[in-house]
Amino acid sequence: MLKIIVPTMMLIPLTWLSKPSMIWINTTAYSMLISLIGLTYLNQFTDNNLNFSLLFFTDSLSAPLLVLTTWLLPLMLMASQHHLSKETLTRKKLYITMLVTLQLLLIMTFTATELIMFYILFEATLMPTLIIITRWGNQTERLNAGLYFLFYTLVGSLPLLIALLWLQSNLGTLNLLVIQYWTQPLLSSWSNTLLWLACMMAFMVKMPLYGLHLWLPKAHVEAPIAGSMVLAAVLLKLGGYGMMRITILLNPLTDFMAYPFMMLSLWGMIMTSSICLRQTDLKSLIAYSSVSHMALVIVAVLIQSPWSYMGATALMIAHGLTSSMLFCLANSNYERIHSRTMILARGLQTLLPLMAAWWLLASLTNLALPPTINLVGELFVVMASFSWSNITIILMGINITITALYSLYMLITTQRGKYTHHVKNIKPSFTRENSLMALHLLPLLLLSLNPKVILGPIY
Amino acid sequence: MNLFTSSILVTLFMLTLPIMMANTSMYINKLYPRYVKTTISYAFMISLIPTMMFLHLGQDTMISNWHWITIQTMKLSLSFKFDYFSMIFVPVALFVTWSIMEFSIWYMHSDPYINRFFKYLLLFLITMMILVTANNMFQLFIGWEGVGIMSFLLIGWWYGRTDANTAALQAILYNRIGDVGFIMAMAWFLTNLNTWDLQQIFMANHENLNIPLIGLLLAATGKSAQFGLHPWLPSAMEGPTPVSALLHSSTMVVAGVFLLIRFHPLMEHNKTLQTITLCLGAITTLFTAVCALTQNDIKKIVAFSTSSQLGLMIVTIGINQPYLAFLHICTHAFFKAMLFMCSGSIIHSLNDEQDIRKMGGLFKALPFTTTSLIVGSLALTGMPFLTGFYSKDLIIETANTSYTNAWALLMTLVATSMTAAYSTRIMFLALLGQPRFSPIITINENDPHLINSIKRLLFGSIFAGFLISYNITPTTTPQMTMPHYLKMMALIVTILGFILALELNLMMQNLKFKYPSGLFKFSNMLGYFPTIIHRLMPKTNLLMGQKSASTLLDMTWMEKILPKSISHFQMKSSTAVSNQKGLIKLYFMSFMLTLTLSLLTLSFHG
Repeated sequence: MLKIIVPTMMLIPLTWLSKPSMIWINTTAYSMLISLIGLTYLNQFTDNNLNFSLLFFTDSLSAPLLVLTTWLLPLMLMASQHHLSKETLTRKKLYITMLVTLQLLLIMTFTATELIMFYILFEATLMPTLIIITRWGNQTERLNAGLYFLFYTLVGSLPLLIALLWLQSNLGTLNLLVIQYWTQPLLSSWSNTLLWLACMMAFMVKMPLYGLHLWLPKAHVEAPIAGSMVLAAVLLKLGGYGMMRITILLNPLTDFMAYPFMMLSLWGMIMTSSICLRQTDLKSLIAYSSVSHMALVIVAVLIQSPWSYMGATALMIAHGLTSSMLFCLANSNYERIHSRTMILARGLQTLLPLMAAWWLLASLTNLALPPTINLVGELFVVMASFSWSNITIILMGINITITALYSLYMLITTQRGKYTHHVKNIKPSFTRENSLMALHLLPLLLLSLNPKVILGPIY
Repeated sequence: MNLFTSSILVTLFMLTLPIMMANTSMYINKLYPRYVKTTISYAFMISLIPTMMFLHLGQDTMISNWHWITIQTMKLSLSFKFDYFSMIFVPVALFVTWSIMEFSIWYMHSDPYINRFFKYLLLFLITMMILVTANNMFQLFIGWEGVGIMSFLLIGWWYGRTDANTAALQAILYNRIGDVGFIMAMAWFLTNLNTWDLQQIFMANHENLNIPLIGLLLAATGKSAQFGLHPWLPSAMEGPTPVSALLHSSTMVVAGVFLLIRFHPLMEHNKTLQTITLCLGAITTLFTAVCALTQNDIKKIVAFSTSSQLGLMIVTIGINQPYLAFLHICTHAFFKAMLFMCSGSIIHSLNDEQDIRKMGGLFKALPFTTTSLIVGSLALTGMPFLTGFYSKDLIIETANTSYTNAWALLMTLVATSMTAAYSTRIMFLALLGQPRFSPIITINENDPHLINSIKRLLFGSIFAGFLISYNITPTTTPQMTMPHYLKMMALIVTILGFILALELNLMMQNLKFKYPSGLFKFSNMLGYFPTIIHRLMPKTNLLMGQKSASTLLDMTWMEKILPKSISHFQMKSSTAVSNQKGLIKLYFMSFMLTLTLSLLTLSFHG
């Protein structure tokens, strides 16, 4: 594990000691190299896990998320170059340091063995994210967004701390490798119900569950590009990851406790998708689409069948890459038009044909075109929910339809039609941007060839 | 037997070559369209080898290679099924595509992105091939969605036009509703049969198959534009004419029917579903034929006629004759593609004029197109010994002699007679009489690309039906004996349609409607369907999205209940509890008072 953590830490001195002209290229190249180390963990040759030390381990659930995290840092660095170009050197370095710190914490979160350490790191990721949002966001509303972000997640996760302390005193350990064997079935009582809620709510807020999702669109819209990317791609997945880890402690309560949350998610994914149809703000649209996709993950995790877990894991990875790519595309529009409003950036296909191709591919992956891993994820979730209850196919079906609709609505509005006059003198797309999109899309396509590496623990 | 699989794989592989070439300098070459066309023609010829072998030996083949993934107990691998349906459809589709590609070289020659257009058409063809040869539902779904997306891209080819974009989105939306049915069927098969492989699915117990079959029927309804989900097909005519000829007449839209044909082993024992299918098909064929009667856009008429024929195919499946439906798919491909190409030729010659009221007298100016159009229309109406006859006549005969729902069959018969009526209308208004187009148009149909491509399909429209039905092994016993009037029924209603339409056209040509009648409006406004469904539904949904989902719930209630109310209560309670009220004057006054008082007391004390 140190071979990932130490190089990631060393990225910070690298940033501060690099020549001013080299800070971006150095960090990007080195973080890309670091992400290559992680790729080996995708090969889980045993059924259980890879133990690195007493503190860190990875199994087939965390390995894909770990790889996603390490893969995303170079992409975030590439994406942020432009909007920081007017900042002073120290601020640039500080910004990169923030991203690296966040990365470090995320890596450790995904590989932590102890639940309490997981909790601490889970909370610690809030700080760099908060700083990224509130310091480098573009508008004044970023402060409000930061507040929402912090308070929603904190209020959700504080009960988890208490629950974990109680579990520790009850079970004697919080080691993830051990508790699955030591855990006792929970009796159905009020206190256990509260325990269930305390354990799950932290992750539900993080996911976010419909109803507790208000922080997400705000944070996404106000965050700078790297913030949006990491939020959509990795931070939301912390919720799904945590839920999948902690549900082993909560059986058999999940069977009936899940109902209200399932209902909320199933209902919420339709509501958020239909909000997407009416969005004028590009980033907000993508953010709401994230909420809708994450609702699927919540449903899948709560159903707790092998297929649903596989679907949830695959969907998390697929959505991580897709939504991050969509944010990058939105940002490339924003850097040219200086507005997130979709109607101001119409008909860009005429001017930026290659970018239009990226838009098309991103939209198609977002609407889960077969055989991408997005489809694998969504299909498995739909299968699981269908076998859980046949009626859910109606809601899922509506959601599938609306997802296709808003993805293509976004594509048509931004790329098709006649371009507006004020976009005539925009910059062409840079190699940096094109390679950024390609680096998002390549893993998506390659994983479609062999999706089993991201299908998670049950596979 | 090796020749069979290897040649069919060569056929499929060849199609991907021009796509791979898109990365090389070949793609920026002006000859790329010809290269694509030639590749397809070679693929067609090679595909004849396995088809011949199949016809000769009658042997189904299944290839399973490249294991993709095994999930728990389910294995998914790349696997192809070369049976009766795929082996006959592949050469037909390749032949039609070959002609359409050649036609597109002429039709799209001034388009700056003609190479991309060809790449898209070819990608579409590949997905279609995946669809028809797939042996498991996942692979079928890849092809299924692939043709949908390619249709989106091709309808929206002229992306500067709002109409094209709307039509593309509409196509995707209706197809997506169908996809939900497909996914439902997949989910059911997975949960209950634990397999997506076709032959394993067909071994299923034939009871309680309602859910997956309804799913499949919904999927077919979406893809084949059956009643309820039909409006996208006429709207899709916004795309270039080659696209209409390839996707929206001969290949993609029959995918739904093809799906039902594929799954007929499950359907043939389910009476409920067959009745639903029959009624759906009958409604579709009648309704769209009614709509076609009063349209003025030549492409719209042909599109509605396609829809009507698709309805006829669904009817055929409803009366449990999937092989006949399949035969009709194959024969229909030839003349319908040709009809579209003829209308493309007319439209191009008349400077993008699509209104048949502004045509007329084209038989002098475009003799070849006229010939083909008339032959195509006759084949469409099922004139004896043209291609359409071999399938359509059989279908009507079988329908007439079957004991199922008589109303549905009567509706089909009426629709058949209307086929003749609207075909006459096209011929009468576009080809005969006096020219009504502006005289400066330079009409020229003498481009070899145009002539050859239409000619090839013309031969197809005359002979293909005979060749196909002569060669294929008979699969269902045809009805051998029937009364004279039933035998002649198909012909009689068609001729009746012709005569009626001719008389009506002759009589009405110089008359003017005072007021359009209610029936006319119903037909011309497409049964008010788009007006109602395309206004009301999206409006309510979008309004709900805006008002209740976004404004009411997200922006008001959730924000009020959690964050706003918490901060509000905090603020209120803190002000209530706190001593500090911000009364500066009072504080200063009391401060001053204490100060002065204490000073006074001090000074007095002192």
